[in-house]
Amino acid sequence: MSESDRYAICGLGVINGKGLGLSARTLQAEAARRAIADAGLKRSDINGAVNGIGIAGAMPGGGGWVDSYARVLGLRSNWFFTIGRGAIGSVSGMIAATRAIELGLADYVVIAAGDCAYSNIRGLLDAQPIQRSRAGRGNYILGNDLLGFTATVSAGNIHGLLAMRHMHEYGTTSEQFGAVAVSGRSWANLNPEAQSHGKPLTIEDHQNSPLIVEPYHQYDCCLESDSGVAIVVTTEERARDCAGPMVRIMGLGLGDQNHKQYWEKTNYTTFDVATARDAAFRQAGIELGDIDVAHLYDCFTCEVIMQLEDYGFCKKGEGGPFVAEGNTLPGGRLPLNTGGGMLSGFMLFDFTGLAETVRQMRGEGGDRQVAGAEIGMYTGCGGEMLIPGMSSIHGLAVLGRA
Amino acid sequence: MVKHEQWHDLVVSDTFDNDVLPFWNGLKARRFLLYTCGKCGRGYWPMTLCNAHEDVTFDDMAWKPSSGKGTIFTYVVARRFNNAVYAPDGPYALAMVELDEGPIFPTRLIDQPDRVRIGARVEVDYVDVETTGMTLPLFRLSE
Repeated sequence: MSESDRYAICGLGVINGKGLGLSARTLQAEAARRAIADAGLKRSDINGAVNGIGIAGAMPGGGGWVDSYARVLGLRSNWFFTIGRGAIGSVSGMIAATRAIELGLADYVVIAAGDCAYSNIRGLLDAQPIQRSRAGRGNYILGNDLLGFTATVSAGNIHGLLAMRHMHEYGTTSEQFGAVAVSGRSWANLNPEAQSHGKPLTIEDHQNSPLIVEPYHQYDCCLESDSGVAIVVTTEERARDCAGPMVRIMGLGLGDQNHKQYWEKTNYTTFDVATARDAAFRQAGIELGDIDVAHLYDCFTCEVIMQLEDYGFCKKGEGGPFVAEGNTLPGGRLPLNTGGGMLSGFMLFDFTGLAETVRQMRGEGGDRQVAGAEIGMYTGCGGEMLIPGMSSIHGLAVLGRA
Repeated sequence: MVKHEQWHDLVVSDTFDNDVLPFWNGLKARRFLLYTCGKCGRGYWPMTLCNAHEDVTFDDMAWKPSSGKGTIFTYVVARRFNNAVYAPDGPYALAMVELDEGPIFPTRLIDQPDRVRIGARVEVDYVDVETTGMTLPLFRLSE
């Protein structure tokens, strides 16, 4: 395989903060602008663009975007499209980008995401309040007819169902969930860019934090952020000529358990990791033990425990004790979510893990840099796992130091 | 117990998918319908082509009454609400009910959350909502 057949990330752009007052589209565009500049490219060099934060219509309130960051930036992209299924957009985006480059449809592809949840929830943006109550008109929107949920359908409500079932099947405890939050916060305190930097967290703090939706406390839930992340993908050959340090795309994998919507009843405590892992590790020519730094999708704490088990970092059912024993803390045997993750760093779906893994592979982790890290992985979980009509997709990317 | 006056304005959706409209209409007639296979009798929620046979078609499937009974597979207790209009109803339990016919059905429980446990037997309770004309499939503990 020649270098022109292999692919790399040649630019990274990140913006994150609280109350920036920018729309999601503008945050996305700014991240893309920074990524292009980081690569030493011009906007006119970009000839493929992906919006990696699309959500399929199955999700309440979903529906994609009517305007694009590519238009905002005036990119001369031969094509632009949105990839749905929630938080696997960067993995799917890289699958699409690398194939498009191979087909000669583009030379440099931007994959970008943006979200303005922090400002949105606090009413700092005028135009698009979320979850707008229709109580004044006498109605509440409760979800949709496919879900059948006769109550508010929030992420915490749905993910909490998984956590409760994991506790029931394996004896996992709230304190072990707390250990995941403490682990993420410990790393965040080494990362000045993390939203929760400088705010130490203990298990006691976790236990004393308000119950949002049992079994989840406040610190089991990820942050709200105003954030954007973008990368530029090209061939390794071209990436070597770019200004920024390149990161190799070693393996990409997806797994889906749509077929397990209810009759298998296993998708409450596992992700469809095996399919994604086997494909990505085969492409990369690696085994689990080769991973130097991991970023497991941490929308809520139990998802981290489930993935530690499903990837084989520990046995099934032992993810809680694995974290509680300190294995994922700075200095532990598995550097995990080293930027603080979505629990303590910033929230931008799988793009949070993408940004941190690129930084680790570039050796730009500062105080949190994992010494000698050569191979990193990050994951994303798209849609939800158990609600009919929603999805169950899992994405994995293996990135390597060049 | 449920504060029924707070359910009066509830709707589940602005629009209903034709695929599942029979289910919601069935509730008004106090029937809990599952999308049922004419070949083997397996019942599905939501609408799913029976996955037990390769030669089954949608003509083989029909909405048929079921027991409306099941067991709590997992649940949460919602205590904080990102939309303030839900707050007066809380705290309440949301559950995934494993119906006796097989499917798992997502619902809100009428009972106080401190009595809710995984494995508890539950049954459907039809709650008519006057102002919207809807009937909601809530569940309550059986004993």
